[in-house]
Amino acid sequence: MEALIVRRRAHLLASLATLGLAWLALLPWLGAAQADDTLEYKIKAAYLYKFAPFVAWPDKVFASPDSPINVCVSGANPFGAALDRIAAGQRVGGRPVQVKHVASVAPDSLCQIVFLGGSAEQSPAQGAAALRGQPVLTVTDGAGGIIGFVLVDNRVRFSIDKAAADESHLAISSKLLSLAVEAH
Amino acid sequence: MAGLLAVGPAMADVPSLEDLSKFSIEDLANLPVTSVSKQAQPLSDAPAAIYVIDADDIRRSGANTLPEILRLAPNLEVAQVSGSGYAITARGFNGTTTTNGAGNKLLVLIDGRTVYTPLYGGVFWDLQNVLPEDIDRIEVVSGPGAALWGANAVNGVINIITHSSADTQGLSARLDGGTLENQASVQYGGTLAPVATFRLYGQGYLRGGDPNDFGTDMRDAWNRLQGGFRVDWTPGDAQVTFQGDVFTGREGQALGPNAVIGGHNIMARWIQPLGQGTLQAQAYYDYNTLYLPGSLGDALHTYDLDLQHGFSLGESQEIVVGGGIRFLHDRFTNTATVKFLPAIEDLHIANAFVQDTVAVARDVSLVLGMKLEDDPFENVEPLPSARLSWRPSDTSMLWAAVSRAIRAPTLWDRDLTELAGGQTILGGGHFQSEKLIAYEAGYRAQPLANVSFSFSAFYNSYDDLRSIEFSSNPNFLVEYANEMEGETYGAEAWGSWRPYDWWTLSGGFSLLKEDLRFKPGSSTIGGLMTAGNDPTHQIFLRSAFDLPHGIELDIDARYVSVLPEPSVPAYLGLNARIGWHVTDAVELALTGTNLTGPHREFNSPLQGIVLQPEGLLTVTWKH
Repeated sequence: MEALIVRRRAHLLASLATLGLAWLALLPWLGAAQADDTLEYKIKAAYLYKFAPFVAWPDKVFASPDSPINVCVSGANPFGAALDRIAAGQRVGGRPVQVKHVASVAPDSLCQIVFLGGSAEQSPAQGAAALRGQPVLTVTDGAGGIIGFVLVDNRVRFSIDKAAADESHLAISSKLLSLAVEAH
Repeated sequence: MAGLLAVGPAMADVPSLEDLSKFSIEDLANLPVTSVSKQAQPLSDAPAAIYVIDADDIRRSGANTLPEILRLAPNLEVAQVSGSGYAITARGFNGTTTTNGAGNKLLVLIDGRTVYTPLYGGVFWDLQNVLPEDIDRIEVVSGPGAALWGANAVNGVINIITHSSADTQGLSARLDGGTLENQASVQYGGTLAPVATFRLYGQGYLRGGDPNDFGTDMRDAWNRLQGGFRVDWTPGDAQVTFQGDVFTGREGQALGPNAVIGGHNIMARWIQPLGQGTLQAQAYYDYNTLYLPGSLGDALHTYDLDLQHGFSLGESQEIVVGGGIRFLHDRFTNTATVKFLPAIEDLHIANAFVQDTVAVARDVSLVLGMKLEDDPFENVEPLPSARLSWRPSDTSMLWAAVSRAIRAPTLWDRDLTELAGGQTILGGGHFQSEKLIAYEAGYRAQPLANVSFSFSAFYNSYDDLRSIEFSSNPNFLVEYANEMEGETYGAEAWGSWRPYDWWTLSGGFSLLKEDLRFKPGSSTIGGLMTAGNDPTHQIFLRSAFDLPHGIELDIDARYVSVLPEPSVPAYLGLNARIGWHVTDAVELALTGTNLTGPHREFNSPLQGIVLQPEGLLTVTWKH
């Protein structure tokens, strides 16, 4: 009787283990099959234009007091439609927010904020390098941009590269600096 | 505020894009990202009767122990049995080892670690302790949670979640001195690396004894020393947690020497975002022991491994799949009259589950769950559930559910053997699972920014409940069997109203009717009281004032109706607390408990303790 129970249990555990392995084999497929419209990227999309009130650009960046603030996504767009939808109709300090999608960035891209999604011809790091010293707030997943998103304790937080911001003549408010997990 | 559907980003619902556009940048920084993981999902969004006790409620209660904190949940029955012992349940069947091992239908988790004992299916509350300051929230679900959580989640689930060590940085200390309880704790949190934080804590707790109804000292004073740590590490986008605790204590007994308790546990959890989903792996080891020197004792080792993967499938489905194995090694020190046979048991529990949340329409969702559980004594049990919810507006939800749950056999049901005068009284044991089909419905809403409420009703149909029968085996007089059945039904309601920024009123109500009976041919030994002892209704009222000069005043009243057998009179319990934030770092508080006078909460006048009015002065310091 006891032996029977033990055998049945061993069988069940083996079945579970097999199921688990089959599942792990399926994972890459599941990962690839999905559009990335997670809450994480919705939050990042909201951040992108909400950074604007905490950043002061040099006056020459805007033609007039009501010129738009251009929020760009360069290369891969992880936000789906979320960024376009959330930023639609928003105004920051009297300026309308406009979302632009570009394949790569250069100093003349006319972006005030850019998320560097990266592409085959321009990685996020190359994009950040191309805009170094330009009055553009570069944002990346992880390090690389002036602002880098990081996940801390299941929350979307960010670090700020203050030296790069200074070099780009962007004045970042102390409030935003205090919210950063790391400002250096 | 403990209400559901709190305004702002604390709201557990996954926020829409429109919500996000209204959030401040601080709100965004504090919004949890994961919404699919079993551990990380805020259950408040679930179509179930769930009450959330938050960190501020806990602080303002002045409570020092988990059972006292759980009194804040209106969908629980909490009765103190001895200085260190409690009977806690949801929706009936309350009891402890002192009442035939009832109170065995609740699943309790501390940071994902299951803490009910396989010895009898209940919780030894004296072995479970978390620093109150470290608790982020406690999710209390009344009703079955078997499809996702497992076999003991028959009548309810209590999910205790502690803060990340990133949220408990710096040095803090708390000292409590009172007429009955004394407590001291110190905690330090720091960083190990830019992406890793830790905390370390130590605590000593000491509680005096109580008399019974005849004024006899029950000699139930006890003490406990505990320490522990937690490390949170975020390599890349993963979240990794290591945590552990160690404790030891002594508990007075009405007769004989002090009991000795002790234990330790260690856990590792890895949460890895993967594509659009989240993969989570968790492993823990838990050891605890409880013994009377020279007499009976129990030592239990638990090894547990769980894996789960949550992800979206297409536009409208959220899937969680997972499984786990648990290995238990239990050693019971038998005495001449009480034995567990065999005294050493190795038990294996394995489970696999899948849950699919389908967005049927924009405002209607269906949660289908199925868990297969292989418990130590029986065949694989299917535990299915279906939950339907409709959100007529952003701030209200109507839900209904049907679930099957089981209470699996425990060592108590199968291995317990009692002897008297050399004769075996209780033994044998062909006890099978107790089975429940539960029907529930509820409504919760936040009609105004400062008003929220929840209402839930249930009808539970139980079969194969435990009974004590004359044994057909001539070696035993009686044995545990499954010859009881019946229905319970009732309702729970709670709400919160904040008429002014400085005043919050909250209230709760629970109603329980039990219609249990023995099946034809049952020996009916011990009567229906062997199933548990419950009040038919409870009423809760709480008022929280924020006064000028950093002063808080909290008044908390509860009415618990008569318990039938053993008979316990209805009582009104009244607690009050005055807290003063002297500086940003220092808080002083004076808490009065049982201010309406002495009362008994469980057991007979001879066995039950009588709780006395109690005063407690608390100093909290945070650097």
